[in-house]
Amino acid sequence: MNTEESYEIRLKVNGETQQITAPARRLLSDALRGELGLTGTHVGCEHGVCGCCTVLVDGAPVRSCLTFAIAVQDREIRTVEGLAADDGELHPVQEAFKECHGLQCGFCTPGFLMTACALIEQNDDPTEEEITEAIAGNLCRCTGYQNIRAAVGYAAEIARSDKT
Amino acid sequence: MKPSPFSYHPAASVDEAAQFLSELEDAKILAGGQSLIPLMNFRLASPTHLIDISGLAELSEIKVSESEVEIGASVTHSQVLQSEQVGSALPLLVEAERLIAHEVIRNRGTLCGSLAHADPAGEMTAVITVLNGRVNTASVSGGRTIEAADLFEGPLQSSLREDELIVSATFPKLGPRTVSSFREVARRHGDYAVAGAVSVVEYDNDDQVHSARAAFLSVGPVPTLVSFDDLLRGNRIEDVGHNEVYNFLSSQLEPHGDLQASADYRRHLSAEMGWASLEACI
Repeated sequence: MNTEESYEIRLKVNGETQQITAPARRLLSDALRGELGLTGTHVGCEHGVCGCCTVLVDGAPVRSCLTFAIAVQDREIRTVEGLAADDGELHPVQEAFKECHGLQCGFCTPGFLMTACALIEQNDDPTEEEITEAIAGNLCRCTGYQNIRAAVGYAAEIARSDKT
Repeated sequence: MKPSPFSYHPAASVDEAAQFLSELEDAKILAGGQSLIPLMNFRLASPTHLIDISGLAELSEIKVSESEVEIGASVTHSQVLQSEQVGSALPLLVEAERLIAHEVIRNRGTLCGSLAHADPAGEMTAVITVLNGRVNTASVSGGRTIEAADLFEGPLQSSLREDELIVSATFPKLGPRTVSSFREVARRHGDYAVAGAVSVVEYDNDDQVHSARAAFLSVGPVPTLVSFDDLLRGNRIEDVGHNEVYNFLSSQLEPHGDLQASADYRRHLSAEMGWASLEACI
């Protein structure tokens, strides 16, 4: 039987560089969850539609299920585990989702948090329209989206007040 | 829902990528992977080798000249969308980019990848068709230019040879007195369009139509180009009006039916999108 070729893959996740051994076909989502044990990144559809697996690569949101781990070596990857401070203080987007009841079952939440995080880092005063546009690639089957939109707006507000 | 095994070859140059393509059996180019990886996850594609060109600096350029905009093969949709140079030289490209999927997909997907993927529902296939653009390729036997009219052979089938990769796509800028517009209908924001049209209208010195054409997406195996010259030349679009344009397009377009829309409904939508994109050029 053929054994599958393995590669040494360096992944820089939440500021820490780790080396994994995995085949080239290992999706970033599976590398994060399986090899690195970072199960905060959720896997829903595995073809880029649901948005649950969204992580940041060099600050930009991407689908980790449509990215091979080997193709993003040495890039800055940020996952939901990297949001809260070391002392446990919540990131503005986490605080806002909690306050605004922006989640119910929580399955889609990591994807929404990372998408919202990228948005408010680029633009901490987004309009309603910009918020809707930013989260349009993420699906939620519980909330009906209104609380999520409110949460993103509130997260931006917290981020603005943190700056002053 | 996981890709099948493959060997990974990061190319250090275009020459090396071409070399890999000529030497390796059943190899595919990986740039952003936003069309290829879903196909691989579904195992609709299972290449033995992937040649990664996403890191190639020589393919990462956007060049704007007097008459053309050239987009390198590793330039992402987001980079095109955010390029002020492109925005002022050829706003149609930016207008089309806004309609492509969501930001999260545009952050990795590449414009040239969309062309190589040759999906007739893809916005860029219609844009390069209506603009009479071209792609520039490389291979071990030398590069060539493929005109848009010769690029698409069927759904997900381009005329690229197996040993050939796209290095850039070139879009002619619009001339003076020329206007363009893109209109499409999708079931949800960011989905593939059920129907869509991109029009280019050139006016004469009396503000009457000199020449007009539209490319339609999602109506056939390849993007469909329709000329309005016989209908509109020497006239104003508003004088010819919705009904004549609609009827003309209904007779020209032969879309297929699928789960999203019957053939008749898609013909109706396409004709309406054709009119809407023309009307936006008034």
